[in-house]
Amino acid sequence: MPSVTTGLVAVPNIPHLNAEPAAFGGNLKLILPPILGLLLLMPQAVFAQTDTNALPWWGWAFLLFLTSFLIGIFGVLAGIGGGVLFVPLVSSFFPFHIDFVRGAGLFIALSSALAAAPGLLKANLASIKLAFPAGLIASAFSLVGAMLGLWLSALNPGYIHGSLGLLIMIIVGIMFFSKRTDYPAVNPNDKWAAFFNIGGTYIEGTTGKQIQWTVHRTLPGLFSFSLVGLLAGMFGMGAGWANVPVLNLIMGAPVKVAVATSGFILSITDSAAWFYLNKGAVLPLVVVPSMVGIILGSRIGAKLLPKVEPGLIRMILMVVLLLAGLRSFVKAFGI
Amino acid sequence: MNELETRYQNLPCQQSYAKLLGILVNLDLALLILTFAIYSFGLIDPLLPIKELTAAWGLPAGDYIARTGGITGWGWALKLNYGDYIPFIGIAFLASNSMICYAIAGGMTLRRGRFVIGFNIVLDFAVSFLAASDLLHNLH
Repeated sequence: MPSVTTGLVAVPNIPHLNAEPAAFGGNLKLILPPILGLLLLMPQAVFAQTDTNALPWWGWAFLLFLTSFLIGIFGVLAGIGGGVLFVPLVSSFFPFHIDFVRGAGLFIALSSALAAAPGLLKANLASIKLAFPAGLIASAFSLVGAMLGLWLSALNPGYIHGSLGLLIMIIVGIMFFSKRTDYPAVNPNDKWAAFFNIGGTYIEGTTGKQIQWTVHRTLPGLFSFSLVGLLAGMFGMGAGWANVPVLNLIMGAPVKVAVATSGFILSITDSAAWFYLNKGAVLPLVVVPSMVGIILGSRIGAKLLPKVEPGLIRMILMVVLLLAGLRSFVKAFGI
Repeated sequence: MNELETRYQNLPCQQSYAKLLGILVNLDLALLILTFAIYSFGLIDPLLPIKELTAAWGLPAGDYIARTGGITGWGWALKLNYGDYIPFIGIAFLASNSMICYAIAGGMTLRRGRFVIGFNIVLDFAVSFLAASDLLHNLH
């Protein structure tokens, strides 16, 4: 059975890339109570104010580590990137300015993508030939997004909180309604796919069959990455939620290739992270506990993955995201 | 071999890229934990006391820099005698991982005559290098 690395650990057969759901397991009984507790507390938290003096600095650092650790676990279980959960949750419930949260979010997305990339590349699920043209466009536009985001939040942080809240609600909608296609029918005569030589071969873990794939609608697909990069840079989030539909539904890459290559694209979209670092929007006290937390959490999540029902976890996390999006939106009005 | 058959072939440099990145990521984790431990346990005195940092972390990045006398760009590299700047070694090294891999993959693909993907990787390197160089920060 082939194995890949997710969050620095070997995971047999990349279960979250499998189309078949894992069996409902006993571990879920242990996981559900804290999640449900969190859900019950969150409506109150939506209208709560964060006070720096409520905790000493190490308390905030520990809470950040714990939050990122949980995001790491549930992000892997639900197949949702860490950045998309981190930014709305931490910007809503922690005292750090959203500039520092976005800086940390970009580094979280980068570190978790870097940790997963070697295994995905070795298994030939992530493709360099598909990732580099898309990553080039996403990376360049993420720089523009980063400039725009920092400029807007300097004018009024409410602009970023409000638009982030709206975007999060749209992302939940996309996650809820989008349907993935395991093996889309692809017209192999796309001249841009031929020009970039985009295609590849991998072994399907569940059947042992060799799958050859290529893409179509290459030009509109690649142009879509300009918007993806812009949003990722502007809000400091990984953009797996957008990469996968573009690669799978527009360009026709098989779903496993789309998910794996999306992760790899995040690892090469490092420009916005550099921009935030150079602007002084990266605080080690915020970034390092978050990165270590998410990497360790991803390891636990990867171990729990075969034993839980990913669909249910995904649904619960969508509710958490929706509440975090609502909180962010409310914060835009100074509430 | 026709064009479609070459399209279905994975690039040979993909495996080298994966191996190199795997090594770099393990180094990242070690560096992040080590440098943050030096900072958080106060083994080397910070330039900015943590109390002042927590009082300012709710400000926009620009105001934070102005209030704390913080450093932008690569200025942190000149302040490594202070504990609060040491974690930037791990952070910047992690952000450099892909550029190190681009250099290897770009060289391999160009040597094998794969000019389209090779040039693409060179452009990716250029965008990351531009972002890392701090030139855009000065323009912004």
